[in-house]
Amino acid sequence: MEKVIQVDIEKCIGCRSCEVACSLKNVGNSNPTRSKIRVIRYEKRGEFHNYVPMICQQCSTPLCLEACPVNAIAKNAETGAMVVSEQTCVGCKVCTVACPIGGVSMDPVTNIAFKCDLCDGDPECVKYCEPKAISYVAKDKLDLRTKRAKSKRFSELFNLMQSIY
Amino acid sequence: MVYGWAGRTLNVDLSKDKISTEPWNEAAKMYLGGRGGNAWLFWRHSRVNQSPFDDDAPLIFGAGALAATGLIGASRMEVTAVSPSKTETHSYGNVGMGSFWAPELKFAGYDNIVIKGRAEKPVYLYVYNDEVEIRDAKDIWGKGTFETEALIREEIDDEDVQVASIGPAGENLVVQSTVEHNYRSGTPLGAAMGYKRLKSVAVRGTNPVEVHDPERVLELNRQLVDKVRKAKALNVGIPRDKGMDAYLQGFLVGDAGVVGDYESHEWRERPNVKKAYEESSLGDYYVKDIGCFGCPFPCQPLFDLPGIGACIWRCYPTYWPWKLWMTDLRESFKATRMMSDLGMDNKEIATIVSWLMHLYSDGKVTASDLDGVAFEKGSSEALFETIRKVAYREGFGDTLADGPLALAKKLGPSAMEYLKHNQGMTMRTFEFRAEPGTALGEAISERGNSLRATTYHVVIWDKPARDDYTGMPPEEREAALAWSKEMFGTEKAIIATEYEGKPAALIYEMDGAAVADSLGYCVTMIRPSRVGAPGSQIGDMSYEFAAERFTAATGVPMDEAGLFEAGERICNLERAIAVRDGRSREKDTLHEYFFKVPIPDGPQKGRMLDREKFEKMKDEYYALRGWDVKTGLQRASTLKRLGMKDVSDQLKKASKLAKEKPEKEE
Repeated sequence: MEKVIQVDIEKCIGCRSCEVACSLKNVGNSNPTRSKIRVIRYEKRGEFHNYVPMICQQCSTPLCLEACPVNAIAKNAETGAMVVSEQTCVGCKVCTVACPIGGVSMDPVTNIAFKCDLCDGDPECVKYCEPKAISYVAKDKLDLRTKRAKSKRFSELFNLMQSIY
Repeated sequence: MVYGWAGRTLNVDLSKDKISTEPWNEAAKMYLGGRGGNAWLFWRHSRVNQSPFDDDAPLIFGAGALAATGLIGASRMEVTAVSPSKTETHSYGNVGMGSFWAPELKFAGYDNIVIKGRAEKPVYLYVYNDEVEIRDAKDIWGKGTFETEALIREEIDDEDVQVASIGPAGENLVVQSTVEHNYRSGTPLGAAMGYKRLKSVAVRGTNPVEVHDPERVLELNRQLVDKVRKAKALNVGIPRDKGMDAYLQGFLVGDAGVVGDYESHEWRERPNVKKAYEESSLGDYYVKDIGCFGCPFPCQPLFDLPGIGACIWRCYPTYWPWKLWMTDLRESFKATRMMSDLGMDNKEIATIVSWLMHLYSDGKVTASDLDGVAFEKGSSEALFETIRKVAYREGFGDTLADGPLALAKKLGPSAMEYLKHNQGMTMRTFEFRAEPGTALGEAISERGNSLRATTYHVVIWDKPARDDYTGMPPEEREAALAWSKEMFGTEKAIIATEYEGKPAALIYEMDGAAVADSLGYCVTMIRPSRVGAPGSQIGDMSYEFAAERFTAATGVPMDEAGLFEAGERICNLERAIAVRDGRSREKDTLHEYFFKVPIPDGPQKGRMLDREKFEKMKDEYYALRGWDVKTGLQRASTLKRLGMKDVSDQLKKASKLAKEKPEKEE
């Protein structure tokens, strides 16, 4: 079963361990600028601190793949990841425009498109995310996982109701 | 290729509007970076007995040697300057902070920034890779640190800019003012920055930090994650859950720290801390934990109280309220947040207010002495008035902003008698009378704040603080005692109330802290490994593990002994700075109070420091350090062994070097 990186924004603490892990593994140094996952911060000190990890979701209809004029993006049959061919990519940035969630970026060093390729089925970033804001989940388990997470509050509500009646 | 370090130092002269860079000195790397690297720069750039309000006085920002390498827990920055708050001696002052500033500086390509001179009008420094600008700060001058950060991010149009700022207190040269970054601060140095009319240092970097063995770094990170998980599962160290650790952190200090009853010289007639905490329902307003760069184990609980706002509430801020006899935690949360925004040190301010409350309660001062403010015990109004008056230098706050000694002189002899201070700074709440090792650390500490020179991490108590408290589990106690015997030759070294073995334990702690502070390691992640012993923190790691991590990132061979040697070197350099500025054996001491007034109540009733035993501890400390026992000065041979001949030569020139030990004593 194909797996995807599931993001739970409520759990992200903004530590950027995922960015560091991605760059160490994929470019060989510590460099968030070239990380394929980025933590976007929304914060106002004294008021709120919210963080959203943004990473390619390997769409069912991958607009990046559809949009690429030189067919540099192809789906890896094993992992289900859309993978950029470094040889073919011309750096036209059309994919970055087409992607609805900012999942494809331009590598500032190589000047070609770069995006998450799921580390060939063993994504490094998720290994360090202790709060589990990102996790690598089989597609057929995604649904119930989400439902369980969202229903947890109802479960607490049951307890409350039982204590009242 | 430089691995680990960024490899460059940024020099800024605010008087001349000049910016330059130079390679981060190879020789300085033996002081690692962060605290040690800053000390090395301070030694080079400062003059003997320089005033913090001297145009030429250096203000140094540094990143820990391993910050931004991707190693979990390496994120800390260090600020070093002539201390404004040690009003008696000034000299060396430093403060370390976690969060995101240091990594950003490394990504911009610098290990440290040396700022000299004084701007003509308020400015802030903006560092974006090779683009460095001294910018006009007229629109942010006067603003709190929270708003300052938002305004700078807005002006630069980049949410990822990391900002370290002073608030109005720093601008007004208040000696209790701090440099703030992301709710972090500590030992006050803000006035040194305010004098330079420098509002903020904003950094943004998009370059890589090269690491020697990225695969190994990841592997060691995985090991660390695993170790911390296991420790968490065992509930070893300080429990951290839903922000409730906030108050535990404040009270679980060693074996004596049973909620609210830990030993402190600062307060008597204690309020019921546990009850106050539970009744405050503060836990209802806990939002989440946030942490530092590259660390998936956040430890900073964020609270958001209706009508007040959000702030981190942890560690010191959770236990200063008790020494003001304050039980309304909502009010103390509000005060903590206010001080963070105004840029002032809650430890200094709270201790000062506690002192005034003592005086007021004993009838030594009246409201009329203090602009009509009644310093009733527990009065939050007195606290808020003090904060405001000090930050904006109004009324008695104007005097107090020059330090508690200045106010004590005005208030008279009782005020002076009641004031316990170290070189003009207020003291931590430790019960020094029952803790000789911690007392020694406070006396030795260069910066006048014993948190970096204390045995409190290696301490267990001879008896529990409360009758209904059973103390630590016997097997943990046994393990701790055995560790003490192995490390320091005596079980007593780890028992708070003993004198024996304390100098060796203190040196172990001081050198270890210097290593952590210089690598930029979190002190939670690297503190000595002694699973289950009091004060040991979650994720305790051995120094061996720390050395492995260092090598993976930098490619420089290292082992535990090598790290401790670096720690010893850093402590020696800091000592050299203090000695250069007038430190000597007789100045390594504590307020008379701790030797004269016995503890009036509680399990440690009757104890006080024994002058003779205390001086004997000092003898032993200097001897173990390889310093002259008579004067407390360093020796050329010791400094040479540590590769510090240059420091030794300069001390010699200043006649601040001890004579070599006579042969027969060897």
